[in-house]
Amino acid sequence: MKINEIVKQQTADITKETHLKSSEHSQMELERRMFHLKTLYDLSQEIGVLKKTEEIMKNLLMMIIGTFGTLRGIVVLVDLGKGSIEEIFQRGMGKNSFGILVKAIESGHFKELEEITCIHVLDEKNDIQQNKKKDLADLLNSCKIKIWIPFKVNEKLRGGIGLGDKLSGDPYTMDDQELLCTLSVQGAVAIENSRLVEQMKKEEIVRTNLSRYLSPHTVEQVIKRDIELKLGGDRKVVTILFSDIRNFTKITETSRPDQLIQILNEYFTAMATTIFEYRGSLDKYIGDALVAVFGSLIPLENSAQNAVQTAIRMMKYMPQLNERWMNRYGFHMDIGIGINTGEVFLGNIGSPERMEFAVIGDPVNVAARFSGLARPGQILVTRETLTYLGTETKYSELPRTQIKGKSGKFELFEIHYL
Amino acid sequence: MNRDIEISVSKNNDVSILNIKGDVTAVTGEKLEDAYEKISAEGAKKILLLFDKESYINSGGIAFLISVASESKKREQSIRLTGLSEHFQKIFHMVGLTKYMSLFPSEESALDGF
Repeated sequence: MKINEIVKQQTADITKETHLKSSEHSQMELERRMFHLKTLYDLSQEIGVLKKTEEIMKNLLMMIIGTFGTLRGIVVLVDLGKGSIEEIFQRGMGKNSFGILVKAIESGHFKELEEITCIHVLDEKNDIQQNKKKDLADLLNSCKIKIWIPFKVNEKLRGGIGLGDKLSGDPYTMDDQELLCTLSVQGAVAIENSRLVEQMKKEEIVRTNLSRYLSPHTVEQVIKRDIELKLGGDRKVVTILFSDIRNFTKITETSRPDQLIQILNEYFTAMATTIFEYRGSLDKYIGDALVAVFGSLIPLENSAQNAVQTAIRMMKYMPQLNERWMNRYGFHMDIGIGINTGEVFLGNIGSPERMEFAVIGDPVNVAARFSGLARPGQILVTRETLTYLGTETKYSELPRTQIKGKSGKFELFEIHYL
Repeated sequence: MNRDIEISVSKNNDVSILNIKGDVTAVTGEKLEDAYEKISAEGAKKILLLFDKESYINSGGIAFLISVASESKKREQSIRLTGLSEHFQKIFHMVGLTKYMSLFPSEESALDGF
């Protein structure tokens, strides 16, 4: 074979080999892209259904670790307001590296870490060199973290993902950086969504719970944090309003059960609305009686004044209800109200999601007794309540009276409202 | 929606075989890790990961395999894997798993000379 033929043959072989290599490379690149696309799809499918931040972060990191083929990785969520770690999940970090990173984040380094777009520790053209963030590079290097991507969940919550060396020994590329950013954004969206759903559920429970005691408007204010509810036990001076239906036994004897339920529902709805209007809270219903407390859940300037105004409005409401009942069922109903002011134990026991409101103390019993003494249409208040009322309040003093279960006689005052 | 995985253990001479059925993902991968820990505790030195032909593994599952592979190196165990498609074999090569475990086209070839 002539030399030029040999050269020709060799050139053809080289070209063929080059084409083959190029084709293999393209095929590999295609497989890689398919794998990355599948990871993005799987991530959205898997973490989209998870409810807990912790689970989302764990799944996110595992998928990232598998995508890039690394032994070590960490994902951290930091509350910027508190400056503390909200959630953290790591894989293969080792006790020392993990400790160094946690300490650095907690001592304020996270602020710097979240300000940069990306860190490639080993890449010579990295952001660190450009941004002169050598101390951060050193920090991450000491934790064997080779790439760091910050992500934003919301204004308060920021996160970061760090990965160690690839098993393949290849360096992280710009493509890797872009993919890591996309995966972290997906994770951040899933975390934010799960938190919003959680918050909505929590608010709904709080709303349902508080609606038993407070007006819908006040409940919304509490949820929006316009009003701060005080939880836990406390001793406080409050005003207790005790109202009860005077001729209730007679009504129960002459009414059908469905009528009775209808009447009580109408009555309690009207009274609760009035109590809420004057920013009182509905403590409980005891049979045909209701107990309202003023100055407990919502702080009031003058709880006694609010309670008395409520009582007057309740009394003035009765003719309207009676007219309706008279037309419909042929009877009317009267109530008597007793009001007392004094120091009680207030226990908003539990959490806002499951709160039991309790007002305990002697002043509650006195208010109940005063309500029992009140004739139909009468509002009776104690000296303790009267002390807080303004000069515009019209009242008359009644003869001192003995109260069941109490020693001595009690001063009794009737409020005039007609 | 991913399918859960089922893992059963069998033996072929001194080779411990983990028969894997279902989807190995970030959610189900712990079961694979647990099964590996169990046979390791029983002293397994040669391990074959035998994936069912319907099995699927995603990047979350690969993360668990990486962890198993890394542990096996420390414990001086030898791991072989078979049953996954050619696509995954390329992916395993790409993510560096083939440095820790050898891939085989069939169970017979994987057991041959193990």
